[in-house]
Amino acid sequence: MRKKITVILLLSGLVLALLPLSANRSFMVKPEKLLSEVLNPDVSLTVDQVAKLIVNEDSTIRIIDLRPTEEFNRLSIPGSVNVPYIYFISSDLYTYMNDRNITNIFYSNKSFYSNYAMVYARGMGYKNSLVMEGGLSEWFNTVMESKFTGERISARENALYETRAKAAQLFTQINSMPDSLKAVFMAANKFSAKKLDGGCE
Amino acid sequence: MDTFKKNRFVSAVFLILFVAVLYRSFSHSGFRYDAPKLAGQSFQGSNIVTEEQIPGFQNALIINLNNSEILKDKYSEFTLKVNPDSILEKKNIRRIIKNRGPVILVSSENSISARIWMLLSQKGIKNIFILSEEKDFEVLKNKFRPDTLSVPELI
Repeated sequence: MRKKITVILLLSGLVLALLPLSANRSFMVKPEKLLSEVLNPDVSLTVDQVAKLIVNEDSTIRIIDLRPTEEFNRLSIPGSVNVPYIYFISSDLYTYMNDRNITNIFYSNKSFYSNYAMVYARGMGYKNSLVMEGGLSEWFNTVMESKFTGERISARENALYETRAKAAQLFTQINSMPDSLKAVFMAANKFSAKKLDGGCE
Repeated sequence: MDTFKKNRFVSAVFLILFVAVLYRSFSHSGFRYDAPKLAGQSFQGSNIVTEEQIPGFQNALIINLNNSEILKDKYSEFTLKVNPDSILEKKNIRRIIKNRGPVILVSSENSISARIWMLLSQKGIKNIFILSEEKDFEVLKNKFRPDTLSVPELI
């Protein structure tokens, strides 16, 4: 009888071992919950909203640029940090998103990488993830090429255009810097791997 | 059999655990796959298709996510209109899984297609694509004009 039980246990173990991977790197949030979260309009910010946060030097946000490093070095939104999309999805998100008090805003050239990353981060349990809709393309169309063409401007429009002008100026200044200066500036905004506290040296 | 009867409690616990593991492994009610591996496909853009590529797909199922007019009335015989909110309803998931060919997500907003793609692919559903107007899905076409005379104050 013992042999029979052993065989049953071994076969059960084999079945369990051959089951599809249920990795600890899989999404933690329930699909239905994640769906309603990511379809909520509040997860998207317009470029105007992001421009305002930049101009106001809001310290509760972190803008994450998901484009390749070469593209980031050439051109980026002021104050953003670079985490290329391929690294973002293949590394431990805790490295980049450990501070739950900071709201992370993703952007890329268009809408794909940023939206993938937002769903990915939220699926991994990082609710502090938002997306800048339209990416850098939309930034150019709305902020950099912004011009008022009407005859009378309202106070609200005036504030909007002023913010756009300030954001555009900052963007132009930073991205026009010589490479050497820019490198220093970028280094200040670079992610460094989280150091372990304590332990042997 | 006698041994099982004698160890009823242990056998029952073992059976419950075994069934629970099997259920978790084969049910489609949660996420259970390696997320980075499944997301990897989105990096190269191999999940992006253009309208010209659609005729080349066999047994394709087009999912129109928000009554998009991109394809107009073309391919209506194999188009399923689904509100993004209800994409995870059983009947829709069953229809997607049963389809033998590729599933193409169509939306007037690329952001909605991208979000739904990531969600469905993390559920282990393969062969899902996004219809995009251009194959260069993440290429910046705007030109930047540097101003070398201005210096930022923060330096």
